[in-house]
Amino acid sequence: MPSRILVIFEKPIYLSFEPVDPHLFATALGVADTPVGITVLLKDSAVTYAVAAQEVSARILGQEIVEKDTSPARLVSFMLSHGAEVRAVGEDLAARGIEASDLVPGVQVVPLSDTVSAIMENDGVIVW
Amino acid sequence: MHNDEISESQESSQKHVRKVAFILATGSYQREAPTTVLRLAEKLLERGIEVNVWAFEEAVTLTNRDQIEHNEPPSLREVLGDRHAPIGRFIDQLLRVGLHGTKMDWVTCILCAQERGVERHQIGGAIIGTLGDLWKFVKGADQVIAIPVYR
Repeated sequence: MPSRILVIFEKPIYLSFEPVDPHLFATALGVADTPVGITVLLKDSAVTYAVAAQEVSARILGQEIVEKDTSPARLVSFMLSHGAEVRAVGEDLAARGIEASDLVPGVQVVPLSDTVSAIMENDGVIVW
Repeated sequence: MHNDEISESQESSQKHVRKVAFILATGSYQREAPTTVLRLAEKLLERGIEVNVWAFEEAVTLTNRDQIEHNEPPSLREVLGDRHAPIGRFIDQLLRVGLHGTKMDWVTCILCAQERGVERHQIGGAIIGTLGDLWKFVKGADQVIAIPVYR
């Protein structure tokens, strides 16, 4: 039975009428409610999930569609505080002008080449 | 063309937009496209511009009346809140705006709805239609905005 899973995010989803990207939601549930050790790897455009200062909001007819003040960054913080590792690919951050200091504290910046070792270290891989 | 002429041309063009057609293929809770369409529709309706939405493929699920406003899992409520509103509620409210103002029509593709078993589960304001309606919307619109499924 897999005890360590690598979860890779590549494409972010915002404002889909879910509180956050449902894949992030599902991963956070695994972190909080299961004994599986989860490492999250944010790559490509999904590195934005690790940016600390996110404000996700959209109003239609005066009503906020994101009813609670939530954001991918809050889920990242939540997962870190519940024992997950969260890594972001440095090359993809640099390509988007995102500095390490912009990230949620605790997120590790890793080179893209570490993806291979991360796959080898884990029992399974989920790519969203 | 001088700036004045450009400005006059733009103003003239804006004055002639009275009807906008959206073509939407993205389903519920997948991407940002439905949110974008609803936000644009609201602003167009505010400006007195009629809106027609032709929803096909997975977008036919947006108007499924049986969406349930469920509770979030207990362990995630501290970050997600207790619940979130289903998108159908917002579409329903935008359709109701037309009762006393500029109207929005929302047509659901019959073939796509039948394939997905949601033909008989549409909210009251959604109209089951055909590809013929799509092309009538396109023909009758001053502007057409199509959002491909991968958005």
